[in-house]
Amino acid sequence: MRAYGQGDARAFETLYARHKGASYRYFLRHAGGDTATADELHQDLWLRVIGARERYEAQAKFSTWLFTLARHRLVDHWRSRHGISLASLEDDAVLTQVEDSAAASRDVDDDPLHASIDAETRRRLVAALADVPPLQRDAFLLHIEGGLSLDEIASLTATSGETVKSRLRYAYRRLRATLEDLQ
Amino acid sequence: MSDHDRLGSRPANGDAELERAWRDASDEQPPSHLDAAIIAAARKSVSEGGKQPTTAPARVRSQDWLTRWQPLAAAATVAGLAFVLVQMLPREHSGRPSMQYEESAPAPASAEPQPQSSSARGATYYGQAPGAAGDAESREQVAVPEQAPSQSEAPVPPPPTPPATTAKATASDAAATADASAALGEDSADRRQEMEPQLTGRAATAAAGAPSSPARERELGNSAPLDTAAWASRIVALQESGDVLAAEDALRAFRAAEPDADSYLPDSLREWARTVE
Repeated sequence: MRAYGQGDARAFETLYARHKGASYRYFLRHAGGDTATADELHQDLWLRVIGARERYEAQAKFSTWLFTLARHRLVDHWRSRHGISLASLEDDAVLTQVEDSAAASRDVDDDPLHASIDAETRRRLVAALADVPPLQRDAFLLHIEGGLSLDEIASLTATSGETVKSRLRYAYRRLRATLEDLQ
Repeated sequence: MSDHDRLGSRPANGDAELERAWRDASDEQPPSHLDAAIIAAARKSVSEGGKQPTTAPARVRSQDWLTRWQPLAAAATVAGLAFVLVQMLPREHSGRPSMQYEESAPAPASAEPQPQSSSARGATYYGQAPGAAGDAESREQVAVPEQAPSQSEAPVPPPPTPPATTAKATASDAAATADASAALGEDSADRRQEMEPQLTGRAATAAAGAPSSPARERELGNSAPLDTAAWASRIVALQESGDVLAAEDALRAFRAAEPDADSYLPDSLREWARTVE
């Protein structure tokens, strides 16, 4: 990113190739498989990265900074589309609303990738994650897609390490149960 | 091993099998057209030096222009209004310095202690006039309002030519003292200066009801001989103005200067003159 800030466009291409899948899937999972929403959020995220080219300061890993931006963009999306603030995601009623929205998106998921041999596994896992409450899902995606450690997630989400650990444990349990069913 | 133990402080090692399965299942990538658009935007940003073509800079320049010139325009407007107001005010200010000057002006050195009446104060205004016609005019504008109440306050009716009794040989006083000058005949400045304090003093004495002092009579008696016709005219004028005491003093002074003074008086005053000791 520093090289890109100094005018090296190829450095950006390398950076983008390395992180584009993770950031895209982060949005895609939170959008319940809605590719249009994922495309929009993904593009906005990377345009922000481009806009911050000259003022970027390497104070942490690039992935930490990138997923901080991604999470802010996602929160803005929730707020604008569903009128949901991040703090309200702890409420059961709000969780139900978000999950219903995600389920509706899943119903129209007809990605050709799902037609492969592992389609059933993929579909089950993705569906299982969609059933995980948003904050637990967010912690899982930040860990599994962003590669962030527990402490980095705690710092990024402004919560304690114990809270992050609890959220991750819940997400893992749900997904493991799905995986065990497949075996 | 429980979930908590496996996640512990190292969640990355929480469930390797699950994570591997997840990564195998989750391999979606953004569409290629999105990649192309993002990379094109990145290259464009580099080629333009980081400046993105938006309308924001124009707005910022416009706001900067307003921010920069608005205070200056406001200051210029205030300055213009202040200038217009100053241009409209001089007529009010022109009179005030004269008023302050007149009120703070010291009494004329040649004048004797004046009665502390408004009319006396008004008289000093004329006496302090430096002689310039313009200044005299401005002082008349100020002095006139103060003379008006003095006439109503004065216990003795003022003589027909009150300015003549207080004038100090200024250009503006010349017209006002024309009658007195004519009565005196010779219009020399020295004589007027000699007579005016006397007249003023007599008026004050008359107002206070005090008798004339022998010293003044001596002074009058020792004064230079006057034209008998002028003496007579002056006594007639005083008598007609109602200032009887001043007329008596003038007659005594006339007698001191001219033993046969009564014979110069008109017949109408000879009866009165016989009553004057």
